[in-house]
Amino acid sequence: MRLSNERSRRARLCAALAVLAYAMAHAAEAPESEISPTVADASRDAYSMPMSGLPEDLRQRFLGGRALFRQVWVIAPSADDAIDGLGPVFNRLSCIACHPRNGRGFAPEGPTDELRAMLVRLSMPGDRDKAPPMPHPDYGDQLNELGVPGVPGEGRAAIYYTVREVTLADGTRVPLRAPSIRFRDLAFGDPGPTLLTSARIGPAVFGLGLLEAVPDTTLEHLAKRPGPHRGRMNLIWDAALGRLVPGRFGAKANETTLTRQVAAAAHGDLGITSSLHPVENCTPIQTACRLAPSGGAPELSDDQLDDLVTYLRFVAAPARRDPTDVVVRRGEQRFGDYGCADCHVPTLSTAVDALPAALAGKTFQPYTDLLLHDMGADLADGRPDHLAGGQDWRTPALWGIGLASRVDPRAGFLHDGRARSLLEAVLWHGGEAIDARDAVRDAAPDDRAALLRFLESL
Amino acid sequence: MQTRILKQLALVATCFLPLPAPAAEQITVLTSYPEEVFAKFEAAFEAANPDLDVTIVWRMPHDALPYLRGPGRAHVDVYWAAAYRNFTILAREGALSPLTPDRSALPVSVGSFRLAGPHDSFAGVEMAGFGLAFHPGQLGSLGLPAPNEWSDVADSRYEGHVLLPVPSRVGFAPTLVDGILQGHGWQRGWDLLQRIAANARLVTSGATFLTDELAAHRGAVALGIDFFTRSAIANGMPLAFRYPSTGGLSFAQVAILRDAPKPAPAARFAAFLLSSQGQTLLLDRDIRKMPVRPDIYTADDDTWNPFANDAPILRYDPDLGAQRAGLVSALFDVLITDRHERSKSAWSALRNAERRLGSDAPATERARLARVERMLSALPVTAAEARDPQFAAQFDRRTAPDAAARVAEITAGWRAFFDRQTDEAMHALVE
Repeated sequence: MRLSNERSRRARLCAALAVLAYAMAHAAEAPESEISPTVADASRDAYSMPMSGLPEDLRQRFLGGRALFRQVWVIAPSADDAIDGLGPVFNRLSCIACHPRNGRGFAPEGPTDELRAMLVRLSMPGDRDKAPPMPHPDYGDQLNELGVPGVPGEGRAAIYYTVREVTLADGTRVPLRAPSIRFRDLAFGDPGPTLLTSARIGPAVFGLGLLEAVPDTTLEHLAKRPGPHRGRMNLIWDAALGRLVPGRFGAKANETTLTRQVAAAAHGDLGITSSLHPVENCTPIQTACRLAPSGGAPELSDDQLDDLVTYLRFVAAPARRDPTDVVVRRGEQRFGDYGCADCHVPTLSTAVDALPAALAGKTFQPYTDLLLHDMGADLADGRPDHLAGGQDWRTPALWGIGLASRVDPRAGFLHDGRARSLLEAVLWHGGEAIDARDAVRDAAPDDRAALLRFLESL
Repeated sequence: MQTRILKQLALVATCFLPLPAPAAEQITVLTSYPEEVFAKFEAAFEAANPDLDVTIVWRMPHDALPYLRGPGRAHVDVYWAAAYRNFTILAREGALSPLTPDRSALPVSVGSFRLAGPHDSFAGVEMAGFGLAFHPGQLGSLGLPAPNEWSDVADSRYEGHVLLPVPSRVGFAPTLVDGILQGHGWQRGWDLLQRIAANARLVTSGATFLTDELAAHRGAVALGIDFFTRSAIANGMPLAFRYPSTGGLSFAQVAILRDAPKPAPAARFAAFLLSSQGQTLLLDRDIRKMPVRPDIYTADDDTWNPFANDAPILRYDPDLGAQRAGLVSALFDVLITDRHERSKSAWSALRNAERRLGSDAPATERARLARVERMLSALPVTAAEARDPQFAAQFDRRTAPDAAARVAEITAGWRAFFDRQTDEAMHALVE
């Protein structure tokens, strides 16, 4: 009897300990509080706010990453060795230069204006199908206009515009400016007639952790939708995984993860090496570039890269304004009627097992399908990138777009900032989106105004 | 079909585009301003001077001085930064060439501070003040009044709600702290700083960290420099800023290097900074610095106008501040940063004893508490030493190569001094 009681007592104790251990284990896994992916802020800081409810350790990494994102990088060698290694050739001195207040970059106003939040990608026509762009042998894959003292920048790009007008159904005339790129002061001679170019402004950077956490299966499902707007995945070889992975970042969806995207931008735009891009961005002909001092091997440590990625993962997307307003709701209806929502898919969800776990199982409204679409000849850059052809562009997320000009009045629209307003951006649509564009062009003024009002509410 | 024709026309039109403009002459500007500031000046200057192209070399002040003393100087035309100490050192070493901008709209001095460097070696271009940034809503929810003076946040009601930047870690903080020391006197100033620190969380990050913390309700009041808060307010943050009646002023300068490769274009850049356009740009909502030209201030502008205020803040001596910045930072670290928890509990114990005894305590008790306070406030550096250039020079890492070793030796003595004083004070408190 005593033995039985003892066993019973032990059993109860073991059961209690098991329950306690289970509770402790799950308490350790669970975030301290529920993270909210959007923030109700319509100020100029609307693109810079952390998701609410970040646990303290994530908040500290977020702040560390934010400091790096705003950091002006220093020429090596420097007493500030954590932030040295700019260049030897580069475009701007900080991330924030091309993403002002985390917002969209902007295009030059004309050929005498510098590219202050824009860059030009370069490549040569490739003989390999579905491959990454082949860099120019002397200028690499991006024109780095600036160099550290003693190292020449690669040259300067000048943007020229030719303007044409589109007349809407009610007679309103909308000027559209078509950019063309010309180079001057090229340091290594004529790049040749076959050079492919593509101008890009910096995109807005918020809500990226949510886009990263959308499962591949969602993209596969969206790409199999019936109809002309189903889109295609760009597929990128992931050496670590040993398989092709859908791209989701970049104007042509040529990067698969935020880490890869950040490391590529640090290398391409700032000349900062990392463990993913350990070699300085100097081509063989760039002797001074190759001899310039390095800021370390690599210049961006893995911890710093992690901090940057953490920051970009947890910058909240701004919440919609006035979603119940009558005009906004009418515009939202037209957005669907005209077919815009076929590609600018309103709602996506992250995977239930997504990492980081804080972002798992979230439903949000980015207005993108993360897929490539043929946008027609007028928007084409003619520069293939993996599976993306010269007319293909990834559907850009529209969330927060209504605040773009408030965050920075210079903000441009479309990949190269040619559009100065949302209406201009819509009127540039072609290819798969030509029906939607024509519907807007031919719409009654009230419907068109409602559509734009809806976009401004995002 | 129509699209194809349009594209062909566009292609033909491209052939008739004008040739790219000839290369602009490049000038190199070394600065430590953040991107938001230098990019706006760069763009405005280049727009006004299309024949010139600015290249920015960026370095923090402590890193800029060795760069400008080394081979890097050969590439630099202009030095433009809020780093008064560096400018005075470079001027003394003859590294700067005379700068003679149009001074017709410029005052000779602001308060006690002369804007031009010795022999016109540099020129003041903007200034910033120090004060109290706070979140009125947060203060209201805590039932605390908005502070006006530094001493207000030394009140124990603010305990746990104050953010205090550490001078050795936050670039603007040495002048912030020195402004309090100059305004209140060496001994009383440190006494006040210790009482504020007893209420505070110490902050080691600069830039927008303080305003972000206030906006996130992770603090209700911060001691800081004005422009971060004023810019945050201009961009919609629900914060406020007040200038106490004493405090520091920080000045930024521009200079042309003696060996500048492009001296004439460099002079045009300096002139732009002092022009009406350049000075007005300082009022931009992302910059919010104080112009040095009185004519830029307007009645409806919310910028605090130092030329219209006869405030004691204008009596701040930046030369003394620059001279002893290293000393002040070292003493702050030993007295406050490195022993913050111990110091907090000692001051808290004293406050509790004062509260317990009340105002009608016997004279002997009042004397005992006064003795405890004197022990906690005692300093190992006298006011005279703090004004002595030779004494302060021991702590100047920019001019004394062996400063680190000497500072370690001196501060070890200070540490022992403060430990002894605190032990004795706590012993006296429980007698």
